[in-house]
Amino acid sequence: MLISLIKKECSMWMKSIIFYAYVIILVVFYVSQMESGMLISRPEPGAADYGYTYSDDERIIMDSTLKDLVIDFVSERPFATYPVGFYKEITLSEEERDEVAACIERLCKMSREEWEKAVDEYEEGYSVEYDDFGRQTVEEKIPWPVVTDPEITYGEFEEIMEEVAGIIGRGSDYGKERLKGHAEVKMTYEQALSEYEDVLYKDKVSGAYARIFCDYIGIILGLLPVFFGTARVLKDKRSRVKEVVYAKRAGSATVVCSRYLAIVIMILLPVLPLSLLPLSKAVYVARAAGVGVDYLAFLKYAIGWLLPTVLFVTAFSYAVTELTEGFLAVLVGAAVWFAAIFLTPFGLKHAGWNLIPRFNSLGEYGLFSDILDQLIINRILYTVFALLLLGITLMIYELKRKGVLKNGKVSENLGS
Amino acid sequence: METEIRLEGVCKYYGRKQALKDVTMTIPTGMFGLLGRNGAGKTTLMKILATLLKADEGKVSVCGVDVKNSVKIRSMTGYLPQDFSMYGNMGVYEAMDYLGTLSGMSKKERMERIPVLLEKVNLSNNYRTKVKAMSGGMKRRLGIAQAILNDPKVLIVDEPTAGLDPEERVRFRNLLCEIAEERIVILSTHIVGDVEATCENIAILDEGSLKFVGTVEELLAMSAGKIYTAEVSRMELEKLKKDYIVTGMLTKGSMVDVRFVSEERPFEGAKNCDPNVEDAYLYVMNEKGGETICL
Repeated sequence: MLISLIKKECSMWMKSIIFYAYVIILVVFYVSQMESGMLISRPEPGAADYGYTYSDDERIIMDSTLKDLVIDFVSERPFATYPVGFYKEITLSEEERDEVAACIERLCKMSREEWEKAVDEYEEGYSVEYDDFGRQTVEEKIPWPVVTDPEITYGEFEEIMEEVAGIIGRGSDYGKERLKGHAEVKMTYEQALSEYEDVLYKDKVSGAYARIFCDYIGIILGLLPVFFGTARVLKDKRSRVKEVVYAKRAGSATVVCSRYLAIVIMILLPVLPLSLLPLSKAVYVARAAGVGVDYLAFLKYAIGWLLPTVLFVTAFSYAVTELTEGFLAVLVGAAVWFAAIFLTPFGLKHAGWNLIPRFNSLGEYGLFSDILDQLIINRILYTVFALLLLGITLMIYELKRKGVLKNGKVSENLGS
Repeated sequence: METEIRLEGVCKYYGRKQALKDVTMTIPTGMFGLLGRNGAGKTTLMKILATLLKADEGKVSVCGVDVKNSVKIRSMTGYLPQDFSMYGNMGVYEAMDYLGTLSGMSKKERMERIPVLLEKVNLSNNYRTKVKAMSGGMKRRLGIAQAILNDPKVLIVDEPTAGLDPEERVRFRNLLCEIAEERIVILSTHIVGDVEATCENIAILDEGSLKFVGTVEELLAMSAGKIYTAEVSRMELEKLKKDYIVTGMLTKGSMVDVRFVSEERPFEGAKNCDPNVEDAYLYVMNEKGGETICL
């Protein structure tokens, strides 16, 4: 019965304007964001710019992190934290600022007066100019003066930064696991070549394209399934078919799961053919480089990366709409989506606990490997949340079916 | 196996309001009419039988199965709600196929049974007609077809003729009578004519209480000798309305032929006549106060 119902639900979606609107938005978004350019090529020696990477050099990590901390401190702006994956500003009290200043003193072995004065002198000789294309030119009359003392080991540095992170609060940028994010450096030719080879041999080209595909498509899939879940529940209400369906033999689990799975299938249905476009690019790049392609990479990434997002967003909208029989799920879903997109830590290359993990880079296999464990935990977590929400939906549906709940309230049906 | 529905001391509350008050009755095979005003508790009772509501007190069994066993009850009942509808952009056949799947029917069973039922309800030429394009009568016929799709032992039909034109109503009643062979059909209505034309057994509900349970003949016998007709002037009519329950009127110029209930001959010129179900219904509803009559 479940399979037959899923087929019928899918057939209903095939006649729905919501489904076609979704397909159009998906394709337009893909074409506007991903379609132009995006060919990976071997780096040429002597090029002016190979892009940026994050350094593994402990000294660079220590100095860069200290520099960012000092700049944050002297600017007197609130500190950025991401307590549950979302941005939150923290303003420190005077006592807390003194504690942070003391940590800086221990790191650079300079008194507060000394390093504050050194920063003032640096800023006097610092200027930034922008040309007509928005490119910036930085001019420094003296080098950055506050660096970690050579006698400080990386272990000591980590301990002190943990103290700083503890003062600022949970999810601070200065936490142990985020220190590397401060060490952005220009890539060398050797690094660029190594990264290119990683894409060819470890990623089999298609892996790199699949990641950026999931990064972009995940943005859409973090929001649009909300409309499907909401529309499906409201369709029963608007068409006045609830009682007819309730009175049929099919169990609540069969009804709810068939509708839920049909939405998930219909959401992923256009995603997989769309992935053939970047896959064709990957095949082109691989052939040009004379290496093999993992043809299943997109399917694997779609299941591992995108499916949990779809499962969660659909389950959330289904549960909330089944309970309230209104548009609340769309409003809340849009707010969660906004927060997930615009308030993410570390910009566009981080999983964290975000509903929509980002990896807005074509390549960078090494960096992706660093965040992979967190990404896997993130995806498992959202899948578990989705299953819990589905269970809650099932309970709500069963209670409504027995007349205990009506539109989220204890039944007040005073029918004749 | 039992082929009747039993209700014992059934009560249902909505907050402080008691929608059903200690309802006890047995519903045998055949057409059973549930009569009562709007708000009498008919729909509540029907929904309890269809497992869409839980009784707060009392016991209900359908053909020997406790109504708490909702899975089994749903597999042996068909339900046509008061305001039946389906997804507007579905065709007739598609709607039946969808609901047949929800009823647990295999594809083969659906393919065999749906055309037969659509023929039976005179929708065989409307397979592709969208639900949103159907008239009220066509929708009810589709409703009854979907309710008997799984060949249920019990068919629960809530106010099926409300809003239908006279021709559609007669056709629908005949259809229900055909279906009622060898199964229990419970017809809830506030239209006495529907019950009179189709049901052998009836129950009358008033404000959640059972006022009468028995056969139509028994109901008629109760009011035998208590229904009168008289020709009165318009002036006299007003006084008569105040003193008696008027069950019918026919205006003839300045005079009016009045049909009314009276325990004894009320005045000179009033003629005793045979009661119809409407007379008997009004007699029970107005004369018998709160007492339940189970015959």
